[in-house]
Amino acid sequence: MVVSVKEAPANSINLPIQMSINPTIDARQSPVEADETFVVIRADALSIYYGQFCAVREVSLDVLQSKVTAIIGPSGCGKSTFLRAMNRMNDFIPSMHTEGQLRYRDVDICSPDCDAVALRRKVGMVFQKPNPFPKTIYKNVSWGASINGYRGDMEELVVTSLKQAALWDEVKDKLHQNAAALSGGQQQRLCIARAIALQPDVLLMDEPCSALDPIATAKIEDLIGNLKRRYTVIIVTHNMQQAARVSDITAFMYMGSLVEVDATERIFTKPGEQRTQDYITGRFG
Amino acid sequence: MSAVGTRWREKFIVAWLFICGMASIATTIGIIWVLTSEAVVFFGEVSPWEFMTGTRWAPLLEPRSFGVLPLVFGTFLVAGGALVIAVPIGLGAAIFLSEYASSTVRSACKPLLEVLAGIPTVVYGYFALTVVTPYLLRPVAPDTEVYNAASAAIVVGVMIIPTIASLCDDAFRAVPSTLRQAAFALSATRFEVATRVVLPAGLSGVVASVLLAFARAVGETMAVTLAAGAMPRLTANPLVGIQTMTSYIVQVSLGDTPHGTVEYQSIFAVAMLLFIITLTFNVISHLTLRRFREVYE
Repeated sequence: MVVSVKEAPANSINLPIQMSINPTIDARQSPVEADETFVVIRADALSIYYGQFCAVREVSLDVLQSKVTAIIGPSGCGKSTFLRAMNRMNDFIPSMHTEGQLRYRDVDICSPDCDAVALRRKVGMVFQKPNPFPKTIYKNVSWGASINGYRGDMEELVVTSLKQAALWDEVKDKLHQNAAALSGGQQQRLCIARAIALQPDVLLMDEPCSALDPIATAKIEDLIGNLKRRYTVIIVTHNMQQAARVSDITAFMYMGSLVEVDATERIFTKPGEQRTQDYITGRFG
Repeated sequence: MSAVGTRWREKFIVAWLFICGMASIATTIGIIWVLTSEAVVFFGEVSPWEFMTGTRWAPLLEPRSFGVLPLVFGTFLVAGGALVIAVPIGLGAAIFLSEYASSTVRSACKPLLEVLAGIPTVVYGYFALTVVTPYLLRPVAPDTEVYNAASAAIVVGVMIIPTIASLCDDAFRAVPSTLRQAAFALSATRFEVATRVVLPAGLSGVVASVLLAFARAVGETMAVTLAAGAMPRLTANPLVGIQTMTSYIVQVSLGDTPHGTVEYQSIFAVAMLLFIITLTFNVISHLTLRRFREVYE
């Protein structure tokens, strides 16, 4: 399932708008646009329930390749649940069930036949709080690749991943020290390095900066900008400025429903919905 | 009630609670005192060197000999054999409980496991004698003696499974769930999460539980007395009868050995050695556990 990834041209900001206006366009059938507007993840009337409680209500959203998609909304709006559905991390909640469709390329994510372990190989995740293993920095990065039977040069993979995560210069002399000794921001970049060492297709980030100070946050935000060259990034964030800074496309969720999705620029300047307007101007949330 | 009355009542309660707290400490000190004073008498007659290095234990038969090694070896044969049984099963049970079982299964399984710990040990001994040896060992090894170390090791192993399973389960559940999530998100299977994240992270808890279980196996008395016999022998063959330190103490305590004789005093020397061995393992176990707590708190 190798897909070529090209850099987005400067004017690509228009494409997602077209996509959201006309979601019936199937990029897979139009090779001319395929590189730029490839739908990596597509939710179609997706609802997620915890027992009787409906956390995500009929959300339809296309996530485009090599773009950063931000999902914003107040606490409890279902944005994290939606994100975690994309790599089946909600499976561990026993009462959870889904309705509607969620696809990753040609994989039906919600289907019982979908191999969640194989899916997570392609759809990686970075969590809210840095959670490095209590192992060395080197082993943290190599862990995922080694359990997945990586046959290449492990050392090279570790170095490349740490460089991509903009952490290499800070840790190159202490690769075999315990990761717990790193600062919170370094730990979070280590978690990013660990996730990209698996060479995933999509990187899900669940409020990756909420436990970090502003300087560490700025570093991670810079990093996200670089990551989108290689990966499709979906980031859930509380922080609207952050969404405005890092993302190409922003989706606004409220009470489990997707209110609006559009180019980030447009969401933050002239949103189509009054509720989006109210939220981004701080009238609630 | 008057203020004075209340104050006296408080003082009385505090004093009473203090006595309760002291009771167990006093008991321990008393035991150490008795063991030491009697053992000193014993070592006046038998040199500690002979006691610790002698390979023949025959305190009741002429010519008498007080080399404790056969008893120590018999004890470790049974306790070591018990660990061979209990560690894989206990660890497996703990991994199942903490990583695989749903909360319903878990809440049903854990008390059941603890029932094992509540069975009187004499029942285990009887079980070894009447079931394990004739129906489990004899079909495989026909010349197994009636009393043998293997049957004792098997039942003691079963007996200490709850200790290992329960403590390891606690250790595994203390591993933060964020680590499990991190591993799952890296495309790990449940088994890889259990063996390559949870087990290493909880390893010191596992070590502590094994040491504690070993100390229990070393101190186990009734089951091994019934199952392993009373034949002090320096052997590694588990299919013959041996004697452990505890069963020697039982043998002398139940017999008509006169008070004040050297064979009577010998049980205090053996008991002291046993006490030192189990105490050492308990202390190491607690130190390991404490170190393990420091990692996550």
